[in-house]
Amino acid sequence: MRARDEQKKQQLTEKAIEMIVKDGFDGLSMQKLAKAANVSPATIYIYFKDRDDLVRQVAIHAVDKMISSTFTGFDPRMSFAKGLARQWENRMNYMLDNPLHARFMEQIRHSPLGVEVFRKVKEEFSAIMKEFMHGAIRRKELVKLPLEIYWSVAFAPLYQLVKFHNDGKGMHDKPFTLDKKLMKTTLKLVIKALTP
Amino acid sequence: MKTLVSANTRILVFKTDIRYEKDLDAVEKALTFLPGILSWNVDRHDAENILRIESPTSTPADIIAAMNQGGFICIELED
Repeated sequence: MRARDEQKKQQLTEKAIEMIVKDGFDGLSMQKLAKAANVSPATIYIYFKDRDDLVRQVAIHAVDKMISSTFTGFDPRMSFAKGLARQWENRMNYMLDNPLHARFMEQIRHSPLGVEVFRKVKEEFSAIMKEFMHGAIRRKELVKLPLEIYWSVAFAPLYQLVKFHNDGKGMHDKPFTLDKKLMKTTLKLVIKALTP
Repeated sequence: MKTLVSANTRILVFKTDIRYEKDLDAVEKALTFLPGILSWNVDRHDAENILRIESPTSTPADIIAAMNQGGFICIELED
């Protein structure tokens, strides 16, 4: 009984993400969500107190999913090459497997709710990633750089490739698909660039 | 009967004509006399001014009667 309820809540949450991505925050209402999810409005209120509560819970769910995806099998004490490879793979899988979630995260990142929800994430996230980075610098596996430059070299290339992939085209509008092989080729270059 | 959220708390959902902030005091007054209301809230973003109540004891009829007495329209939304 309880398991089925959680499944229903999950289904409503995913549907709400889909609607927000498609129509924006203003396009989401309990009535519309009920219709789209094929349930009565009363059912939605069993799980969510009101629209604000729905949006907040959806945002928290999406952030949790992003964090758990990013850190699957990752340990900040890993060697730099191993750890970065795991990060790239996790982040790529998350973005390619959950394109709606990834777009939703971009949408909420700059909203007042997003700022609030992300505050907690940022602390958790940056503590782990800092430990990883400083460990690698200590072991002389990583050059010491200002954080912005480190991020721009270590992660931005992956995000750009995913962007090309999502657009379905790369430079000069040529068709582009990101696969594991391309990802690994790029990652190799990134590690080479960051190795002292 | 609505889905159970915990052992015996029911969630009851009504559409109402609670439109304004100032109405909330009157709703509070209307509901005070009902025993066992754990929490209530009004979704002010919703076109149907949904009143949501968590209570292990009150029936929909109790709530509708109390709200009507307080001067509000109150109609239960069924599952």
